[in-house]
Amino acid sequence: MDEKCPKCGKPKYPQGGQKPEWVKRVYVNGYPQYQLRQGEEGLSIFDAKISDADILGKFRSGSMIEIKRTDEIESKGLIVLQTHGDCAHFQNDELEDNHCEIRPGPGMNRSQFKVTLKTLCVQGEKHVQ
Amino acid sequence: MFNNIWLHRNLPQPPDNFNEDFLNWLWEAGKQLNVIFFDNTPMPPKDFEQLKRTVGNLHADLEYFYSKCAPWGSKRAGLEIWHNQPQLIYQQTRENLLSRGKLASADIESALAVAPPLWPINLSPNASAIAFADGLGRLAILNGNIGENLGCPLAMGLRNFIIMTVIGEIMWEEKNYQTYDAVLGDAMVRSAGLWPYDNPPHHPVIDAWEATQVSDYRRKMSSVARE
Repeated sequence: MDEKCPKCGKPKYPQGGQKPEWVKRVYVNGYPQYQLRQGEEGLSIFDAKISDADILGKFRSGSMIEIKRTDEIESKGLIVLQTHGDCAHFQNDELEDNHCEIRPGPGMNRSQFKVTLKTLCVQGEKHVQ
Repeated sequence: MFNNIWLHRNLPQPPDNFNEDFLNWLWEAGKQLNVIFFDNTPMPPKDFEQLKRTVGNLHADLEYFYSKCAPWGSKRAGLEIWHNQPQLIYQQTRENLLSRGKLASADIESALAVAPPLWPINLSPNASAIAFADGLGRLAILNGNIGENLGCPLAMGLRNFIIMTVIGEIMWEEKNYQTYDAVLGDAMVRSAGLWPYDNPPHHPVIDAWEATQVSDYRRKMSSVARE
C-alpha cells in the first residue's frame, strides 16, 4: 500500500485521512451510475465536500453526479478506499486528494463485485447536471 | 478461436472485420458482462482534426474507431491530457533504455526522432493503451500505463485488442485476479492479441520495455544464484 503514482510521485493510497461521510459519483447519462469500465479495479468517487462544478468541470457534458453515504456503500460489503485521483486527468490537487474508490470487499470476486455495484444504482432520484 | 468462451457467455462469434457489426457485438458483450467497454461516443470533430494535425495521417482502423469512440471516455479535456502523454512515455523510454545500458543517449534520441507517432486508444489510470502503425501498415497496440508495463506489446490491430479486452474481463471473472496487470498477464488473454512472434513491429517504446524485462530477469536470477 506504499505505492507511488508513477506520474507525480504522490502516494497511491494516502494514509491517515478520514473517509468522507458522503461521496459523489460521476456517471454518463444513459449508463448505470455504478458500473465498471474496462480495466477498472474500483469505481472512482469524490468526497462530497468538493463542489459539483469543480468535479463536472473535468468531465464531458452529459456527465451527472450521484451522491451517497459511505456507510450505505459499505453496508453492501464493499470498501471505500482513499486513493490518489488520476493526476493526468484532474490536474488539480483538491480533486486528486479528495478521491476514493469503491473496491470489492474481502473475498468478493469480480462477478460479485459487479452484481453488488448494481444494487447501488438508483432510478428516478434527483441528479445534478 | 475462443468458441467455447463465447458459447458459455451467450455471445455470438465476433465479426471478422472491424466495423459497425463488430462494435455492436462489443456493446452487447458489455451488457452481458456488465462493463462499459469503450464509450459509445465519437471523438469530437475538432479534437479529431487537431490530433491529425499534430500527429499525422491515420491508420484506417483508427479513423473508424475515433468516429465511434473517444479514447478518453468521459474526460472533458481528453485531447489536452493526451498531449502530455507522449512526453511522459518518451521520458520513461529514455530512462529505461539508458539505465539498462541498451543504447547511448544520442542513439536513443535518433531512434525516437524517426519512430512512428503514437496514437491514443484508451486513456485510463491503469488500462491505458497506445498504438502506432509500422512500416507494413500494421497497427500495433501497446500497454500505455506509465510504469513497469509501459510498452508491453498487447495486440495486433484494434479488433484483436478489443477481443483481448473482452476476454480479459471474462478471465477476470473466472480467475479472480487482484489487478488488471495480472489479467493482462493471463496466457489466454495475451493469446487473444495475436501479437506475432515472427517479424513483430518495432518501436523504441517496445525496446525500452524489453530492456527492462531482460535486465529485471537477470537481476532476479542473480539474486536467486546468490541465495
